[in-house]
Amino acid sequence: MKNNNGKFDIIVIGAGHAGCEAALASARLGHRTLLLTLNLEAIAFLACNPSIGGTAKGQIVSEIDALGGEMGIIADSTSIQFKMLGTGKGPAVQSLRAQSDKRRYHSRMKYALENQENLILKQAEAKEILTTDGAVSGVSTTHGETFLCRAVIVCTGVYLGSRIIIGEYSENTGPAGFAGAKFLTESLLKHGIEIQRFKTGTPARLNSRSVNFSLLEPQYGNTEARFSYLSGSAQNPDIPCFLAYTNENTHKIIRENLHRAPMYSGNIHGTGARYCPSIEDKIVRFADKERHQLFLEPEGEGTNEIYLQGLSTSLPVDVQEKVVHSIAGLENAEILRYAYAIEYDCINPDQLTPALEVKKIGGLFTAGQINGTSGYEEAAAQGLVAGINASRKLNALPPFILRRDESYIGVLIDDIINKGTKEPYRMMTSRAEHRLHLRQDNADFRLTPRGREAGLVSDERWERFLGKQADIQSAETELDQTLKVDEKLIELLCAREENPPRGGGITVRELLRRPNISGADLRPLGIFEDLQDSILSILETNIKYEGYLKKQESEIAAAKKAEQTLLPNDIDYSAIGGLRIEARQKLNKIRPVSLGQASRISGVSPADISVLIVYLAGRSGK
Amino acid sequence: MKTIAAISTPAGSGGIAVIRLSGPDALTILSRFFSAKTPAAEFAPRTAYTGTAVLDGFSDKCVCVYFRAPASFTGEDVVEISCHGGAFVAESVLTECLKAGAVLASPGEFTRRAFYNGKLTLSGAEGIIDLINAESAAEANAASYLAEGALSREAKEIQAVLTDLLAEIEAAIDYPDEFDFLNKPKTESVLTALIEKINKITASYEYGKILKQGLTATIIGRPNAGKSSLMNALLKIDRSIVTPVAGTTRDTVSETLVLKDIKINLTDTAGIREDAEDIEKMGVERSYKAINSADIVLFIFDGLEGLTAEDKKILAELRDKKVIFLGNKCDLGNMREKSAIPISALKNINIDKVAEELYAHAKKSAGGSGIVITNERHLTALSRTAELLASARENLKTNTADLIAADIGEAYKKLGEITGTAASEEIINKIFEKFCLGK
Repeated sequence: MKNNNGKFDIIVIGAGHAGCEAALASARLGHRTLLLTLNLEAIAFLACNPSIGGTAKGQIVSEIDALGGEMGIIADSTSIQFKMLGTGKGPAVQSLRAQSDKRRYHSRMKYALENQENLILKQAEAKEILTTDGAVSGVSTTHGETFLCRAVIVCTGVYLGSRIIIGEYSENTGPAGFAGAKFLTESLLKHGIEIQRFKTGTPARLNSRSVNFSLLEPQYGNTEARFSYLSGSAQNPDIPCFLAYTNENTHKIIRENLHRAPMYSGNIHGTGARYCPSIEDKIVRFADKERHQLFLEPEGEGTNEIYLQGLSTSLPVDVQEKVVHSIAGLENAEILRYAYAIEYDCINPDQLTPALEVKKIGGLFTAGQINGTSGYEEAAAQGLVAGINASRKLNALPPFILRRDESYIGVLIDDIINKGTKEPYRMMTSRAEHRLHLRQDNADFRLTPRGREAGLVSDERWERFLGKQADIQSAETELDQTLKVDEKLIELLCAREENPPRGGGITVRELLRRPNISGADLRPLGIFEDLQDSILSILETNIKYEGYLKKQESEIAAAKKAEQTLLPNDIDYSAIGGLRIEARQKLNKIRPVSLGQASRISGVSPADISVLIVYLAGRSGK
Repeated sequence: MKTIAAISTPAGSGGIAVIRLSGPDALTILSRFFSAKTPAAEFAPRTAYTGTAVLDGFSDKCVCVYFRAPASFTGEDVVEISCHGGAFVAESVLTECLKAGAVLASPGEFTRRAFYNGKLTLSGAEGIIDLINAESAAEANAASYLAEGALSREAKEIQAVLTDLLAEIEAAIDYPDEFDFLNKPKTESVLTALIEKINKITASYEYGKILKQGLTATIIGRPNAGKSSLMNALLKIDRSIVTPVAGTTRDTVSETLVLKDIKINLTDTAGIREDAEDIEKMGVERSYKAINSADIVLFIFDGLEGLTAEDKKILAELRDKKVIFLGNKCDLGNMREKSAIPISALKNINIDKVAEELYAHAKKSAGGSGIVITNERHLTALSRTAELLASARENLKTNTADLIAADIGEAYKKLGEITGTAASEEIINKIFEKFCLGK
């Protein structure tokens, strides 16, 4: 190969949330890694909202952390507010969300990359992915350099072939004024990879100095909890967000200018996500709604920039001014950056294996928004998994695959590779059938042993985990002790509107089963006195939800049977009578490894699965 | 693929019997022994042809219908031959089919082929299996209801309500900033209405069971009260030995009787008396067992004597059972027990009244929902659904959205065992269709 400018094990293209985790994982697993980025200033850039976590996403961040990833640690150390969402809706659906300091998040991650052994960071645009005999062999850049490698992880985010649209204006560029990636789409197409085009958007940023906060409702954080199991009691500020509302006048302005909105004038071709609608979309689709909620989120401590959540739009700038000024509290608001829509190229992830490797090209991995997902957390999770798998491939180890029943990350990857993406995919707790088990508080119990196996869990993290495990085991021995029904206990039961037990005693376990009794209630009685809050809450949930958790466990066991029923690779699905046409096509394309995987492919119905069962029975009977 | 054949009407006597052929050679096989004005090879699909089947040593007038693949029950070429009833004729036709190259179908093979060719949904397949096993007219009715998906439709309607509910709960879980939580009183009343609806359907199972398996009526009485005579009178056939010596029927004897559209399983038992000898004792034990499994008991006693102390002892064992009282020997004198139906088992007096009572009882079990479930799996799925919804209603009190969602989600899945539809994607779609969410 000409112009050999260096030899690496793994090259990561793109240093967004996926690329950072991928590069760190690969380097930490001992592989010489090159991380290419269009701009060092765009590393781990929070291009949209200045927040990390949220429903289901909070769980993902803790899962990344439990496996030995970086996102949780950096979010914890740079965030300016923490809020536990879903309190009062049951422990299984509580999620942590942090308001992040955008600048500091970026610079902390950049610093982590700069200091990582085995990792070379370089500002350069990847031009072409080079292959030899159907396997990856290197990457060339627009500078004319060629780097050799054995695996490539593509994490181009929204930069690939990106185009910004604001009203009648549009320009082929990346987010927030950063340049886009202009050449790589061509290279992917040349390798036979199917490309699709998605769209997303971001709202305007305001100068806080010009906002009348006295008209708005502040919203503070509510929790000491953190994403990372290493963070302990990190000291963070608690800077509020503010709540505002659109009104009839706002809606009128938007309706009158709809014809200038690119989504309606036909200027946007990419597919947007239903869960990230623009304000014009909301007003058209939910015409009878009198007002929409907006959140003003600070972008960090050293800046006045305010992110106007809920007002994502691609209307022209003059309309944006009118819309913003129609809102109570924002009458005189100065817009620092206008809202825009962005279109970008991505692939349909049904072209990937569960290891996130492109089926057609050995050693080529993709992670993050290029896979049709949305969200920093979803991207980081894929980056981590792709990094681990690229590295395992080079070591000739079997792929690292997280199951649906042990993690949201498993749900995410299983969903996208089996169902593909027709719109940007966002994680939601309702996508996880084992959600009661996949909690924010137990990600380390679920995944740290897996991360240790994969080689990313440091000794420090492992020691802490073992200590926590020992604590919970010893706390469990306290559960079966019987408490005498004395005045103190009766007082507690009355205060919590619970009936006193029959007989003279009640076990701690029985007490905790009562819906209104919390673990903390028992501390004055001398139970769990030395136990950490975080461990007590796990214990409490495990007991209160025992019946449901057991049921899920038996479902998980049942599902394993389907996972273990393997589908031979030589099946010609088009020749199986009784399968519907769509199912035949999908099965031939995805080629699932098991009946379980087949059942999750979109377009494969339970009836098709029955046909497959009958077919398998017939085949083995021959 | 081989062509299979089987008799598809139940064994026993009936007006006609149907022999079914399925496979590529169905028409060729038929043409070997069946002659009609139009040769079998030229049969138009879905048209009835009368003709003569030449069988071993005799011939029978039959009606044949040809269904061309894939527009048939199995999705293959199918021929249905309707011959005269009775095991002998039907078996002769089947033998000719086999001689002509068909293979005897293994149990359920027609349905399996239909399923394999994508002709059946899960609950449709079960309905058809029930149809195949139908033994009397009403059961065929209940079975065809299911095949057409009446139950499935009802279950789908319930699923639709659950989808709406789940969308609301899931939206509240996944979008805590926008959504507070459910409207409790409304959710509670929706759940209660669904539970009542399901209970109505499950109540039809008892009737469905009677339709499917027949009403089990057990004749109980002291030795020599006239039990066997009553059984014989009801069956109008001589099955048990009738003798004047007490305690002849030492075992339980069962027979089937069809009253209009209901099948009655009649069981005659050993007479129950305290001082029974060893062999008789075993018979007495069996009698008690028969009582346990009975839907209804025909209690027969000597109407001239009235209820003796021993009768009353037996009656004490029947506390929980529906009992029809029959005072026997009304041809010989005055009845002492006015509440009992006076009959004479020997002289065949008032036996039709007994039959009417049995029929009325069977019919009374029918629910008002219009849907009759006959399949135990459906009963289990529905009962479990009702339980889960009740649990969701309970969890509403403590606001544990995750558990409420788990309950309702599983209820949806349980109904999926009837309708064959799974949830998740549909619910997510619903969330975005119904609510304005997202940043």
